[in-house]
Amino acid sequence: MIALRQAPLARAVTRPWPSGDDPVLAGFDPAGLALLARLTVAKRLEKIALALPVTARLLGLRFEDVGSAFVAASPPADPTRLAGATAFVAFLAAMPENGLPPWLLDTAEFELAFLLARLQGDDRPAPTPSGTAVRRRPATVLRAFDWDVLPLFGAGAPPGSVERAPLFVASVGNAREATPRVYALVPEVFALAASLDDWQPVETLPTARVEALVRRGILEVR
Amino acid sequence: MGLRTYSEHLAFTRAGGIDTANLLPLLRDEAMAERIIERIRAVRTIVAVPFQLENITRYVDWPDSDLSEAAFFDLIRCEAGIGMLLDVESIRFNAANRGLDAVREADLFPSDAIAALHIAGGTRLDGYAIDSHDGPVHAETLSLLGHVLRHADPATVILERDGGYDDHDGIGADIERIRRVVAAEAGALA
Repeated sequence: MIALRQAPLARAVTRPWPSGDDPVLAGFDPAGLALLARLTVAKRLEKIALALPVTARLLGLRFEDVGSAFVAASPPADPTRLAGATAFVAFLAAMPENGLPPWLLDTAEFELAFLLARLQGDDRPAPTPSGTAVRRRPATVLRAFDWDVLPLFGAGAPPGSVERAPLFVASVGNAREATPRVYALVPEVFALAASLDDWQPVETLPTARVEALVRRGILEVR
Repeated sequence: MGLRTYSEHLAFTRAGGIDTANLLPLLRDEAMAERIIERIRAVRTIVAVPFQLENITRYVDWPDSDLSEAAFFDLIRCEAGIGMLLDVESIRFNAANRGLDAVREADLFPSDAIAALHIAGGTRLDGYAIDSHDGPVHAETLSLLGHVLRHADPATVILERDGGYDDHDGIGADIERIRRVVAAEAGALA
């Protein structure tokens, strides 16, 4: 029974504006509820801004309204940074035409892939240079984008420098390094890496490309 | 893992499929105390080190709570056989946000149960004292720390910080100020 009483409080303080109309919340101090909601929502959005810093910077002053709309639409089920960022990116993808930069979603997806690669990064030793079978490393995250968002991640690149051009990226996490490595791939190489979900015999694949991908930690051999 | 103690906040964070990632106050009555005691016992079957329960900063209270925070703690502590981790800043902020005297509030907790202390710096927002853990420790918190140390003998005093990590000088200064208070009270006890 207590869970039935606690749930309205949890719901109220995870919305940008607490709803005091739930009878369970009658008697709670409305100002205290509003403050608690403000703190809880701010903490959630702060985690998203840390996970998706360039996206948050591109949103600028709109981060607060978009964030509020997100928070109102998506109650938090999982407090991790990855879960919050994933839900936020899904919310951006579902947003109708909104006057935001058209490359915003690709930027968010790019950062999400980077975060995912970092979390999936293992600390296995460097890939064996040769073997009989090859596959994509579990810590490799591949994403294709319509906009070339890479310049946004360079020093001082203005948002206007983003061009509509296909971009194929592999983000490779490694627990022994502070951040994942990011590689822009040509479409054929990206397609090769994308096709290697499971082990495949090396002799059936283009040797030079496989070797290059293994050297970069995108693929692994056994 | 070499754990020496295990601590947990007396609060809830999840309900109805929502994880708030924030510490929310519990309804304080005997039934809730029983639930908490059961859970502490379950944890202690797995984690065989001294268990400490910590108070939180409460921005709201359940209107139908029929136990004070100190009485609720004491009921749980005595039944479960655990120690208390007293968050000095939370005591001060809970008192400030309710117009109460922090020293009197701290004195409601039995000093012989206090096994450890937390100290932090906070801020103010919308007229409330906020336990933000991101700034310097306030002089009033240090004064309250001194008062608590005059009566209790905690094994540890921990400075908590959840933000403003770049302020190395400020953090170092806080540690020094805390050490001075601890040394002064240890001297007074000697």
